[in-house]
Amino acid sequence: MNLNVVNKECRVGNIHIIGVASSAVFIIGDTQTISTASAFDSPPESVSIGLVPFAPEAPS
Amino acid sequence: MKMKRISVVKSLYIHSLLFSAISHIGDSYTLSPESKVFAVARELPVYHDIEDDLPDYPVFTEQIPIPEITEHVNVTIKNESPTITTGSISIIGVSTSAIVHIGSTEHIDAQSRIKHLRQFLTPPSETSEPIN
Repeated sequence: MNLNVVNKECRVGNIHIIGVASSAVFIIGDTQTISTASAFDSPPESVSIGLVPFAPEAPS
Repeated sequence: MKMKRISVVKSLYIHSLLFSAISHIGDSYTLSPESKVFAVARELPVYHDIEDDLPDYPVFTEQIPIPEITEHVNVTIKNESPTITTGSISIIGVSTSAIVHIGSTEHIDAQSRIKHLRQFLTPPSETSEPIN
């Protein structure tokens, strides 16, 4: 497969961002490859009962 | 590789950079930010000072599969303008291995692993309000 890209003029105005977080990348420029991955675990699936400080729950 | 363009930014303002975040002006070859976050909320908010190691939950260790690229792609890029221009950039926060990059790079490989945990003293009853 052939992919031909022609970039004309690229000009944007002002940029206002609240936050860039958790391995996110904000780039003004060129790059060849971007690969991103994320794993997220949160309640209600992620809940533990009792005073056990940090023992991992049994793998499900 | 002569595809790279010059980044022209009028001004850059960042209020806070924290938790291994990076602000980079100039070209680079590869960016590979990684972050692991373990956030615990407890019904009884007592936290012990021995709890400073990251527990080995599967979310922190399991391999994230990489899609296999089987098709060969011939890419040609023609830049009719040698610049990428922006006005003023204003950012409040850059955090947790995030990167603000003014300039070009070759490869970006980012990874984030987050575990949120709620610890209750007694099991939340099934008739109570749902946990959010």
